[in-house]
Amino acid sequence: MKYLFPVYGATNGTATSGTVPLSSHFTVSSVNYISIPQGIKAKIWSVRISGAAVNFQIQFTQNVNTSTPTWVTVENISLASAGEVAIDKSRKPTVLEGKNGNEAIQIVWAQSTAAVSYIILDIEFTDEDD
Amino acid sequence: MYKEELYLVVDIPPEKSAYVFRIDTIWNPTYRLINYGPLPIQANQPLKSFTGTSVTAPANGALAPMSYIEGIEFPLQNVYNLSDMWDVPSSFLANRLFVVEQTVTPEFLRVNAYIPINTVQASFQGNKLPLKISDLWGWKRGKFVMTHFPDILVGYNYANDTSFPVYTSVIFKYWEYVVSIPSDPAIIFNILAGFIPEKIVRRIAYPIVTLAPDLKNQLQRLYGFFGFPLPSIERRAEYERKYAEILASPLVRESYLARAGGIR
Repeated sequence: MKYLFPVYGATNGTATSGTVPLSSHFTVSSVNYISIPQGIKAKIWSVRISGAAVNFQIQFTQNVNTSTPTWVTVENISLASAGEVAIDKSRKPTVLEGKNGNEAIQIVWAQSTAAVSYIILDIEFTDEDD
Repeated sequence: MYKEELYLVVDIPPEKSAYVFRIDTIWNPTYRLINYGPLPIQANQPLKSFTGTSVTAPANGALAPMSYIEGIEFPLQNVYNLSDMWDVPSSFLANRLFVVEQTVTPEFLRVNAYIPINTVQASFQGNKLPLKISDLWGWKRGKFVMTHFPDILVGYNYANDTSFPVYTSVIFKYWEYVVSIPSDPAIIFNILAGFIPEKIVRRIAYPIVTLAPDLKNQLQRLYGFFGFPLPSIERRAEYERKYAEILASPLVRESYLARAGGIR
């Protein structure tokens, strides 16, 4: 199985930091994190951000099912001023593996001035060897 | 009449046997896809949960995070069985079967099948450890191939082991085969031994580990036997004799398939 899907979200425009609610074309409602099922590799193929100045961090945890998960920043993407940044990883994606079903990805933001910024990632879930 | 492969082989693993069918025609030579749409799940319908908490469907056709559902059939209007589009009556459609390639999206959803509808059909170390959709393995993600025999109800199971509440959707690619059983034991032997070119034989394993009583009874009524024993290739004469005996047996000659003209 290889399934490529977009995950998108935005800052709320009223807070200077927070966790991005994430959606996709198949979601009923947004989620605060994307769990990675056991045996699945989550490959992040691309990241695009746009809108107001912002810093987004893609974070990973190995214990999402605990009351206080430990989140580690995998990647920082920033807009110094209003605009757009696109990062294409088509040569080598960021791969995060679900080893026991407790792994997850979240995105947090920080801004000096609260404003709306957008993020979209192309993520592939696969259970196949490369 | 239209054909692709000339023969269809359906392996019955627990019997170490296989049904060999001659494909008389394919009823749907051109139109293969059914965009069925969402799984038949109602909003607020109770679902089972990986975490042991009570959970309900968040919307029509949707699965909650870390939830699963068992025994799904596919309702359709104006077919023989309104609650299951893949079920046809063996009393007068015994010479018909469907091979169905199913894709459920999002494709990371787990899928497997119970045959008949409440019988778990995956296990480890023989029957020591039955494997359900909620277990660590014993299922696939996204795609599933099934042979639908007349009057055998299949219950599909789906699981969402992610944090997303997901809208589901199903697409079927299907072949509606009209079949008979070859009358020549030598042909049956050659097909099962692999002496017939692969391009004219479609071979599929029936996804079962046990021939449950209901399933056994229905296959008995339908075909009169449980498949041709898989041959040892150096014992051609012995196996051809076995196949001839099967074809001549009263149960086969009186089966629904024989009455439908599928055994000559």
